Amino acid sequence: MNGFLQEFVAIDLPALAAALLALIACGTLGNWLVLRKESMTGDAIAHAVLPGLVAGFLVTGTRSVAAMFAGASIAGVAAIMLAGWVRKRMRLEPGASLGVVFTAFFALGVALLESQGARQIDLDPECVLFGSLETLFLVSVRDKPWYTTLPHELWTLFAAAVLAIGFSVLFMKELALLAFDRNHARQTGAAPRMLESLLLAVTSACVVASFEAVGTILVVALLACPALIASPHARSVRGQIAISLVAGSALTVAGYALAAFAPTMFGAPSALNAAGMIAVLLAIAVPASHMLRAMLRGA
Amino acid sequence: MTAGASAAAPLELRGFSAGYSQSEIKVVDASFTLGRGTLTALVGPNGAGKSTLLKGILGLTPVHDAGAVRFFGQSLDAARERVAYLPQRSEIDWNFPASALDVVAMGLYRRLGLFRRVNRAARDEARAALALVGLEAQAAQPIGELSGGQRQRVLLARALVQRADLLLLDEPFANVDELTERTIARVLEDLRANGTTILAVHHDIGTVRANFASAILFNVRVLAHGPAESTLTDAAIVRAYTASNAANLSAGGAA
Repeated sequence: MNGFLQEFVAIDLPALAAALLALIACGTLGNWLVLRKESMTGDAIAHAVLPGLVAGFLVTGTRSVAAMFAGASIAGVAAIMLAGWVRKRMRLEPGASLGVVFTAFFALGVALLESQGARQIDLDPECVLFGSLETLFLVSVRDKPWYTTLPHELWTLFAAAVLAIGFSVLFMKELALLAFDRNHARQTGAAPRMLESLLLAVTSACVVASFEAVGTILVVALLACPALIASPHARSVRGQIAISLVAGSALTVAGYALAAFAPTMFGAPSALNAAGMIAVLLAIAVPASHMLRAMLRGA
Repeated sequence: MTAGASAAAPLELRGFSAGYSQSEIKVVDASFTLGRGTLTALVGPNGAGKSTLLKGILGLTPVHDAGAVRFFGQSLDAARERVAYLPQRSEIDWNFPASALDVVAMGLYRRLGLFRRVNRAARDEARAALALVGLEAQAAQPIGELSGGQRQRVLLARALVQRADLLLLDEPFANVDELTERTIARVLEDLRANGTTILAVHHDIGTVRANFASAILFNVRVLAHGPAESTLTDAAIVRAYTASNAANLSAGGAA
C-alpha cells in the first residue's frame, strides 16, 4: 500500500494538481464568457493561439515556456485585433468575424505543426490536442526541497489560477454589470473602459498557460462546461462561480480517476488519456445539470 | 456660464443625428430642449428611431453626434452622474443570476467606485428604492422569477437609486400590468414635481395624454414638440404615422 501511495504522489498527484489548477484558471473566467453569451470566444482564443505556440517552438527550437508564451500572446492579440478589423470593414456580426479569423489562425497553426521544422523538434499534434498530463512527474531528489523539483507547468498553472481568481474578485461587480447590462455600464461609467479588453487578455493568458499541460480540447471544455453546468442552479454571480468550481473539481477528479485506474481494473493494458476523459465528463454533465434543474422544478 | 435659461437646460439637442452606421442613420437633425421638472413622452410609429434617439443621446450608438447634445449645459462626460437611463425590458437577459436587490444595487456601482463591495448602506438604499415601486417583498427573489411588470419596476428602481436629475426611459409602460402602470406613473409624477426632468419613449398614443404633460412627435425627425394636448392632434398623428416610409427613405435608412 505504501508503494501505491508513493506512486500516487509521484505520478498522479502532479497531473491531478495540473488539471485542477487549469480548471480554476479557465473555469473561473469561463463564467464571465458564459454570462456575456460569449462562450464561443473562449473556443476562438484556444484555437487562435496555436500558430503562435508553434512559431515559438520553431524560432527557439525548444519547448520553453517563455517562447511559447510570447508566441501565443502575440498570436492571440493579433487575432483579436484582426477580428475587430474584419468586423468593422466587412460589417459582420461579432461571432462571424471571430469565427473567420480564428479558424484561419488555427489552420495556419496546424500547417506550421505539420511542417518539417516542427517535426524535427518533436512537436506532436496529439500533445497540442490532449496536453501532456501523463508526462508530469514529481521527481524526488535527495537533499532538495520538494518544491524545487515540481514540473514547471505546475508553477505556470498556479500563476494562471491566481490571476483568474484575483481578476474576477477584484472586478466582480463591474464584470457582472458589463455582462448583465453593457449599456448601463457604459452610460453610468461604472466599469472602466479597458475592462473588456483586460478580460480578453487575462483569458488569453490563462488559455496559453493551460495549453501545454492539458491541451486544446480540455481548455475549451474548461472554459465553457463548468459555467454551463452551474448556470441553471445559480442565484447570484458569486454562487455561479462557486458552483462551477466545485462541480468542475469533482468532475476533474472523477475523470482523472476513471482514465487512470478504471482501464487497468477491467484488465486493459494501459490507462486512457486523462485530459480527454475529463473533457468528456464535463461535456456530459452540462445537459445532465439542465435536466436535473428541470426535475427539481417539476418536483 | 452663458446667460439665459437654455444654457442650463437639463437636455438640449441642436441638429442631433445618430444611427448604427453612416449608411444607417435613424435620427436626423433633431433639435429640442427639455426644461427642468418636465415630463415628456417621445411618441412615434414603430421603427421611427425613438430608442435610437435615446441611445444616441447617451452615446450608446456607433454613430452619434456628441457635440450636438448638452446636459445641463455640459458634455455627457461632465454630467454623467446626473443622467439615468432605463433600457427596454426586452434588451435585458432575465436569466442572469441576480436578485431584484442585486439589479437595483447596480445603479449604485459608479458611486461605490472600483474595488468596493456592495455594503449595507448600499443595500439599504436599494431596498428603499424597491419599496418606492412596491417590490420590497421581492428584494431577494431571482429576477427570472419576476413578472414582466415587476421586472419593469426593478429597472425603474435601479434608475431611482442613481438619483439623477434627468431620466431617459425606453418604453417604461410597455406590456405592463395595471398596478405597474399606476406605480410607474405615480413615481414619475413625484420625481417631476421634485424637479427631475423625464423623457420617456411611449408607444401607445391613447394613453399619452393621461400620463404626460408634454410630448414630442418623432419619426426620424422631430415633427412636433409641445403640450401633449395640442401636439398630439389627430392630424399630426396621422401625418407622423403615414410619413414613416417617406421620412425613412429621405433619411436613407430602412424602417
